[in-house]
Amino acid sequence: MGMKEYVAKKLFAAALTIFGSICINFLIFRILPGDPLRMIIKDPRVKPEAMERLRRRFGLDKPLWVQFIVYLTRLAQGDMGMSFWQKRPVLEVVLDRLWPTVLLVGSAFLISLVIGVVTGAIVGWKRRSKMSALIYSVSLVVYMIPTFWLGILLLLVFGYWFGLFPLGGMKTPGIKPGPIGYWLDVLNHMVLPLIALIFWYFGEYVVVMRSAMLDVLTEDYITTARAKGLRERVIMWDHAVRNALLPVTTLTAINAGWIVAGAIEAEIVFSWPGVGRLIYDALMKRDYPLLQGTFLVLTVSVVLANLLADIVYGYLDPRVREEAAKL
Amino acid sequence: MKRVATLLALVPLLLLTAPLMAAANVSAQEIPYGGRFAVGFLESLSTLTCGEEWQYNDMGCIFWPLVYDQLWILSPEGEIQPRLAESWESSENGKVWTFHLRHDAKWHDGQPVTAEDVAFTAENLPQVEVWWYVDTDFEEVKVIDEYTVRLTLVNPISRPPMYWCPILPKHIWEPYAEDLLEYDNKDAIGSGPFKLKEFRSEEYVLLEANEEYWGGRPYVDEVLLIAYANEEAQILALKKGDIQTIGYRGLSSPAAAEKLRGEPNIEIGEYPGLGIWWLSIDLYKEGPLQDLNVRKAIAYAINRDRIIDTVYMGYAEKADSFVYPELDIHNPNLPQYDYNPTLAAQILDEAGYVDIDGDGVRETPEGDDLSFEIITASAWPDAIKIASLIKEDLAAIGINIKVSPLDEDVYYTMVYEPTESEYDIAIHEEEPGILVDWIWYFCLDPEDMGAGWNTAYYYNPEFDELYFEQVSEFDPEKRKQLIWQMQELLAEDLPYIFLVRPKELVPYRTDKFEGYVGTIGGLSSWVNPWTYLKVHLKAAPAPPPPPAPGPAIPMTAIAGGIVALVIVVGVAYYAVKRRGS
Repeated sequence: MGMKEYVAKKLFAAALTIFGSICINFLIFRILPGDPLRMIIKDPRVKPEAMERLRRRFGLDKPLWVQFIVYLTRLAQGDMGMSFWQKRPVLEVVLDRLWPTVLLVGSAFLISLVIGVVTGAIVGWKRRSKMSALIYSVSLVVYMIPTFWLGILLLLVFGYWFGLFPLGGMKTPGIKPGPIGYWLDVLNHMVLPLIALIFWYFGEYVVVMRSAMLDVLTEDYITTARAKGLRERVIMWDHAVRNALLPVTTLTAINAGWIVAGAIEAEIVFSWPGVGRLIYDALMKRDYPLLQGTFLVLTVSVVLANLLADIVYGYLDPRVREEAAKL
Repeated sequence: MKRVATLLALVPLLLLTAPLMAAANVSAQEIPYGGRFAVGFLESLSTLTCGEEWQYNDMGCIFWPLVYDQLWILSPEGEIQPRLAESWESSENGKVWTFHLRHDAKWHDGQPVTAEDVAFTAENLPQVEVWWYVDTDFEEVKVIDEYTVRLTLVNPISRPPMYWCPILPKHIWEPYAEDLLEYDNKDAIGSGPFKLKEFRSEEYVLLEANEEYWGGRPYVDEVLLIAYANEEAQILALKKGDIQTIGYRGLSSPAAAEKLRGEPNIEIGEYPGLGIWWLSIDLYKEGPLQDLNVRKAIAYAINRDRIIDTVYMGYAEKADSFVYPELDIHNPNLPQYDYNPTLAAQILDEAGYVDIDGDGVRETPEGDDLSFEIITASAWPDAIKIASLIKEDLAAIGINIKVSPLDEDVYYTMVYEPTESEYDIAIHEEEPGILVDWIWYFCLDPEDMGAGWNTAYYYNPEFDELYFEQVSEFDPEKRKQLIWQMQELLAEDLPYIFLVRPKELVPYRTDKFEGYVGTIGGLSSWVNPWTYLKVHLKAAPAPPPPPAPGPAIPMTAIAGGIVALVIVVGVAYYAVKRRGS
């Protein structure tokens, strides 16, 4: 099976998955008990006629299948609808939150990927040294610390006690400095949540990378490399690490897809305006269009990340393409 | 959770913070201008559109009264004060109201505020569902001249209409007259004492003093309403001095207040509550709850003192009406249902509810268990605690209770549609407000004026008659008597069993600002914009900031955490070593 066919096949599967999830997204929130209008209007003063008018405004008076057709047609035109709650186009609301999320979670993801993989590689390579065992233990513990607890501790110590960083938000209200000032301000707000998230992600990479290294180190080609008299450094980085990276690729792809989902715990502790809190609020307010919108963005990014991983895999390892051809 | 109150009796409210106000009574020249007055919130504003969030959102109902001026407002003492309207008169017993506007009011963009703006608002704002009320329900709106407007109401009322209504600029909103919600209102041009400086959805609203305000600019340069996504961070921000006080009504619990006691430069104000908790009983549902005896027994069996002590650590008072007891229109002679389980049991015995099968639960004469469900919203921790106490109280007199915490929307759908949902009992809280007017809709004919409001499906034609009589009664004494009778009817018919009224515990910093204004509901709520208008920097230069507040940190907790961490790392290390070797 050639690369082109393989990619085409994967693309088709991805498109199918996205369409399937659009349908499920539409239905699943409507199965939830409760009435979105009651979240919007908690006030009994609203007369029944007014409720009907609202119902019509949001298209909730039509049968479910008509609502679905309308939704699909609009979506095809790039219109994700209006948020019940925020009274703004869903796309605008989601984009507002997407940038802070990608900035925070994306940075945490990249930094912990690099640190985690390198640490995992070293710990795996020198698995018998006391230092490795200690580093590995620390990363395991760090990985298990609840983000919420760690976050509050960081706020308490570095935000309040030492007063080094702000206690929440993404920028200082009212300050409109030049571009450099703006970035420094955002960076200042980002440090604590970033540390909390790196702690959370980093351990995972260490664990996966270490066990992959341990597997690889028992392979014959390592023994061969040693027998050839190659330097340890060359064996470690060129022979062991390179091969151990495959499982990490899978993990990376999965995590990359979830970047846009935000990190709800960190967003709550640090009052960060991210997608995680948006999804939570939308769910609590039964904001169907916003929920569909956020879930759609999420699905698309997860599917795309997986698609990318598949393609990279197929490229790296021809055997994967052979397997796909048999299906 | 806020509700608009509109209506009648204006009774001077006690001003609750005499010392605070005394501090504010320095002569005008001495009061320094400047500073950013920052207030923390747990609920954030998502949009500036003039919809639900201006009514129900903690930050939204503070934001608009600062940016948009009103025809008239209530003073901290609860008296009517002219704002955009300089004077007014009514004719035909409160059906027609003519307002004379002041000539020196300007929109933030420099245009004058005229009768056209008021007429535009009166015609269009009530079309937005959440703004409709009896006092915004107009038969005719007529501009008499540039600064005079005449409003003819559908139903007459005895106080000026358009309470707690923003006046919107016609020249900006006109294209959206069909549906005001279509306008995103990004610049929020109003005519109030503050102007919008910066808005970040779900993060903060930054306002600046309006230098051109006809009444003189507020003392502070800026007001920042900022949201924290969790209460811990909010409290740290208060202790650090990032915020001066906590915005909506105050702390979530007395326990949180206890932790703040003794902090340097932080006072904890204690104010009468804005919210009242009660049990709503669905009288539409066929069953023993339709029997007044059962409702009376329940009312007698509830130990309100225990609720006050355990849920509110003493910071609450008993409630016996929709009306706050310090108001003149509160009837002081209502029948009281003081805790008396013996009497409750006796009432049930006499009404024929006895435990036939000896399982500890009484049966109706028909042989069904006396067993009910109390619904509440899972987002309200107070309600869940109250419900579990009531469950114990009622078990003691042989009534079995199941407590069901629901999602908020499910809960609201059920209580507001008693004929559809046929619930048994609901725990409910509202903020009747200082005018205590709209709340009576909970008791009006459920098929007519009370439709969609009357959670108990209560109907007593006598009550409706009294209600309509008092709405248009101009004589305060007569009106008071009518409202007293209404309260008496409710206490006798018991569609609602009143529980408690929690106090508001509001922490505020005293090192930089002074002149906070406390009323019912605390320093900042939908009935109290006054703190923002009166607060100012302290005349004397602020003392140097205290040294790092080290001791205030629960060092033991941190030390404990670190020790635990070291132990865990040690154990993990040991385990890893064992497996590795």
